[in-house]
Amino acid sequence: MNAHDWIATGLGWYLFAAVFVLLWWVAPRLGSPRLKTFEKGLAVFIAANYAFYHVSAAVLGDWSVQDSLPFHMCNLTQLMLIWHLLTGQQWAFRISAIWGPLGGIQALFTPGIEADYWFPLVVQFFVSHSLVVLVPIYLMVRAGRRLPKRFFWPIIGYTHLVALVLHLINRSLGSNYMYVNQPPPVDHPLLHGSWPYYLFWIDVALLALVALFLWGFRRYTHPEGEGNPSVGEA
Amino acid sequence: MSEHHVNPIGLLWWFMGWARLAVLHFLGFTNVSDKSIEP
Repeated sequence: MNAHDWIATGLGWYLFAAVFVLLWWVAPRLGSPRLKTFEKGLAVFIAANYAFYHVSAAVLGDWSVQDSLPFHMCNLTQLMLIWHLLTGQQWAFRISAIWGPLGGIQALFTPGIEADYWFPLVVQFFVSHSLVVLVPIYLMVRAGRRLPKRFFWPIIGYTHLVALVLHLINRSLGSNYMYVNQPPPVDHPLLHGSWPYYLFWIDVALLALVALFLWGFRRYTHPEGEGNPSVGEA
Repeated sequence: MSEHHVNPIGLLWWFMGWARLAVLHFLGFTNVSDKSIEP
């Protein structure tokens, strides 16, 4: 079976369900004495899963500056989640809470995996994308994390700033991180036209999805009158 | 519900950003790299 056959079996969704079950029913909740240790362990697991990609790609000769630097949204999210879980830095949680679920779910629906992709890396892909979708939601719903009020334009602003920087990096490297220089190599309903037209529709979708996400998780924003923890506070 | 309020002025800024990019694009200032990326 090649990678596409494995994807067709629904493997990605089984792995997603497994991560969901573990985080929802097995992982400790706020108030549990095991929570701190679990969060550190989760950081190590995300890091190990990501390191597995780099080691495997290097050994297989697939590692490249154009494809393997951690500049895709989901890779940046993994690094921010590791950083947040180890240090408690709030900015890392806040950005990953939006990027992870909204970016990761696109990758789960339309995985950009070639047919000859090595099976363990297919598993790694689905585990990492399930983690970036589910870990921020677990941290909000079960582990007490909160988003700031009026976060819509700030997160849209950060996202565009990163996209602009990555566009310039891509131009110098000949890469396509965050897919801001060329459409991603997937058949996705949001993708129309060439550069920069497809970006406009992705951006419209980004606005709509972020608004929907913040509305859906409005219970997990800081209530009126309660101060937000400052950046850097654990 | 005020804490979930999205400032509509932001949307104007967003449209203006795209309008600026469109103008630059039609003037030929946004020619992306010729290094094509294999899908």
